[in-house]
Amino acid sequence: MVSRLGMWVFLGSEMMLFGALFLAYTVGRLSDPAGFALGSHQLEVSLGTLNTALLLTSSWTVALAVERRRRWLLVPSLLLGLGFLAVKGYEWHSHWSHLHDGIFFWFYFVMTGLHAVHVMVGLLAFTLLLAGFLVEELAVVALYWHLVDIIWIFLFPCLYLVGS
Amino acid sequence: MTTLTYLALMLLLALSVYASGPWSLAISVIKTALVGYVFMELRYASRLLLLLGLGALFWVGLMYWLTLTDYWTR
Repeated sequence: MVSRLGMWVFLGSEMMLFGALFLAYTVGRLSDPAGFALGSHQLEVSLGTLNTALLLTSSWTVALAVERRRRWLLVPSLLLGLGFLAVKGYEWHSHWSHLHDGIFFWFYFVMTGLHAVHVMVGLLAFTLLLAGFLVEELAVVALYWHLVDIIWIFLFPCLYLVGS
Repeated sequence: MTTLTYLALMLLLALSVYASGPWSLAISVIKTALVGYVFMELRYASRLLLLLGLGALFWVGLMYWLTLTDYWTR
């Protein structure tokens, strides 16, 4: 119970970290709406949708793992997370040349990059759990993973679905 | 309940792509509420935990409010 409360305190600090980034994004977008729409239209909505579906599904299997106390349900979560990173890697590779194309792509790379690091930490925790470590902390790792999912839930419309 | 929530999340995802723009952001808020309430088990949360969560939301809200009142009133 105490470790769960501790994880919530940490998630609160994560909300501050990403909250500040989303605020900077908002201010940037208010001052250059056309530039943000232009940048956003260069991203593939289908790939963003696919990645959202992958993360939502992985959150579901993690929630089931906690609910039914079945650690092996982290196997699909781990695979879905790896799939997410593969799609993200492909996207980064195909947009790398846009790195200096204005503030939208700066936000794109910084925010998806920081989020991808969080995904990697989550996948490491899944691997440890599956290997028999941290077994008591399954519910705590699950809380962390759901927050990583929530951050992406907001990144998806902010980066891929900017209306013209 | 968990699987039903998952299906609702996928439906909302399809809806957000179709809606686009500011509506998709509103859908993100609904999705977050579902993930928090069901997946993160906030429905079983103690008052202490709810206070902690509301505290975090309050500080983030304050940061947005102070910054955006400046930008929106120029």
